[in-house]
Amino acid sequence: MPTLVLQNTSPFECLFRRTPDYNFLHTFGCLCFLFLRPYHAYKLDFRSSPCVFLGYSSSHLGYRCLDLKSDRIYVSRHVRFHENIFPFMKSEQVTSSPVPPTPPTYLPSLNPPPSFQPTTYQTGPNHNPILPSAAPYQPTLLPIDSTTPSSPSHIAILSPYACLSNDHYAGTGSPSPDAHVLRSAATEQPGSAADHPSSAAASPVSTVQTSPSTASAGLQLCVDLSSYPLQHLPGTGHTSPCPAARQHPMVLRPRQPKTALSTATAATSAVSFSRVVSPPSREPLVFNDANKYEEWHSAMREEIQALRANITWTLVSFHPSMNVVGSRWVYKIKRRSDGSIERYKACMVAKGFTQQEGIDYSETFSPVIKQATIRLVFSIAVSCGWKIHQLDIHNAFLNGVLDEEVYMKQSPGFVDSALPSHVCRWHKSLYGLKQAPRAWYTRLNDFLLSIGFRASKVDTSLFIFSVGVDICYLLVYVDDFLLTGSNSFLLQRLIQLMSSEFKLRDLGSVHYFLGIEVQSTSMGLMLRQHKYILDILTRAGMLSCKPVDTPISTSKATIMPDPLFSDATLFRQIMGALQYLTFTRPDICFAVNRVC
Amino acid sequence: MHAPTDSHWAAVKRILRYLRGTTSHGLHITRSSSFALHGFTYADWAGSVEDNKSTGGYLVFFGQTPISWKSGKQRTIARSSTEAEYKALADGIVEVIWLQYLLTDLQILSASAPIIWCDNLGATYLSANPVFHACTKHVEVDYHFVRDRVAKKEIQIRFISS
Repeated sequence: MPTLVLQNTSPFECLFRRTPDYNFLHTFGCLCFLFLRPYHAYKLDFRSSPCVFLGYSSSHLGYRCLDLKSDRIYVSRHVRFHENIFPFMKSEQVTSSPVPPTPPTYLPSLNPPPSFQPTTYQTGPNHNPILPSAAPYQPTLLPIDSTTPSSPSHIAILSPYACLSNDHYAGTGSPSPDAHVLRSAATEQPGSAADHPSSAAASPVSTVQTSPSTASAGLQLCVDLSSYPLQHLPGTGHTSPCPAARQHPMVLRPRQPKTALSTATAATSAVSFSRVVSPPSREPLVFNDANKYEEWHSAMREEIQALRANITWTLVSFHPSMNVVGSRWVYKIKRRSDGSIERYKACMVAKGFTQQEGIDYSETFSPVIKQATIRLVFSIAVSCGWKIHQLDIHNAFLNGVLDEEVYMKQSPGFVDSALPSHVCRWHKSLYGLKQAPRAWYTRLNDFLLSIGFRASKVDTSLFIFSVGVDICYLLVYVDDFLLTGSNSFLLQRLIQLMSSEFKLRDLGSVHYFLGIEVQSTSMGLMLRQHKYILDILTRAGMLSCKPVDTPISTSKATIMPDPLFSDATLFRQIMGALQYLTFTRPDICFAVNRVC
Repeated sequence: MHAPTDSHWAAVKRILRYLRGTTSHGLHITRSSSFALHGFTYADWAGSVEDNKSTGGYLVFFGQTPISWKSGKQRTIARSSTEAEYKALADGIVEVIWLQYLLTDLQILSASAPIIWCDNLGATYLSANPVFHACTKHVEVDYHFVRDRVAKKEIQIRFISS
């Protein structure tokens, strides 16, 4: 297309030093006769029949024409055009007298189409499928044709905004027969998709797509197509006879009147931009996926700031003797109990599996609280009427101090631009490092002993604080704490002491601990794993199974050659979950143990 | 666990079906006036179809609340139900002793000695009567002794019809 920048010449002309050949282009919708001999079985058939010119084939150097008699589409190179005769204009003149003419500005309706019919060419003989799809972009073509008759305006239909961009052309051209074609379309399909911008947006699809598409797919595709460079379009890559035509959408795209979009068009455009705008609803696996979203990016920034605030690492120059551990991001959507999103959490973890024993770490064992201890302390607290506090340590592992020298690559996305080749020497433990739980436990143990706690000898994750007749118990499960005791003032004092050392949250009375729902009753406490059971049943696909009264068959199994179960991983997952379920369910203990 | 078969999966499904009907069941921790421990032990004799090992188990109460339980296949083959029960009893006693230590750490003192309930008279007698200790010891050691000799081919065992 000629532009002012190039002194009213087209880029094609600048590039190839010759004017592009526009002879291939013809007026849309005009009468034409094409050479039908290759399609006929007998040589005595008519060589041609009256057709309507539809467009250009996406896969041939040829014209697509609709046979008016048989409603069939032919593709041929050998076509005679009668560019002043428009067959569908006649039908409009016959039928449209009582119908008010559609405004040529073609304002988009705010209402979405009630039903959007996919535009296909393989429809019945009485229904002319071409018109609704052909009509909406016609106003765009009309002024272009009238003002710049030789421009390759047919490419304009490839933009879904073409119907809206006619504002740019309205008034510049005089009414032409094409406008009647538009009116005839609206007449023949009253209330149909032709009235709506979404169908107008979809119409390019029907011209570039040779196969019928569903409404939603068509809608999606047309928006996607609009955001692609034109050479990706099947309809233009090969058959466009004029290379200059390729520039047309590049001209059109900046003009997309986004502010003037109707809701329907805005909705379609939102589909193509959803990657950027809408909040992510699933957890990405890799950094590159997450980095596209602002939510994840800010979550990662928060994590990095927390790490920097704790002075968890220093940058040192790389030495070949160092065993450098990789790192990656883990993303988690924290949800409330009703399923709504509470916050986006990004966590940097080390790839601890590349650590070498003896160099990067020595001891890794870290104790956790035993189940019997939890139940015993619960029982004591209930019997004595004590309140059980649940505490949560924020970034627990970052409090652990590493004894060993651990080097790690700079985290993806947050590489120091001044020192990109340096590696981080970690001073604090990090999720993923082999010794991280141990480092955290050691740190916690030292602190608790320093403020007067005493570690139990038989369960080292149980800490006891006793002053006179008052006594407090602290149960530690990595970063989940349970604190109970005879004196509530003493408990508050201990929580204050601990929060002065660690970033700590008091969650109040325990209600959900290690996946166990704790509910207070008139008699005491009820420990349930209701949600956990439902999760197991869902994972096994047995949510709707028929219940039985006993967990195991009373008949003794016989030894028979038995085929191996196909999904051993699922079996092990379920068994592991069932073993944890015995925390509150002694009744299945025997049955679970028997299967293992 | 290392090679699950279809019958294993059928057993798992049975457990899941049981759970489906009892999803709201849980552990009720009730107020109790007594801080005494008492436990129950039990064993099925030669319950395993693969190796005839027995499964033993125990359940320990603190007051009226069950706090510790276990069910597990015994490491050695019991030649009598008394032997199987006796091993389960021994496991239960180990657990009760551990819980006693824990209670001492928690500064909860119980006046009475823990009571273990066992449904096998023979095992009860065995625990009470030191005379029988020698007998069971003899049986177990003898059993391993015979197997050791057979494995080393120092002795042969042959069948003779009665």
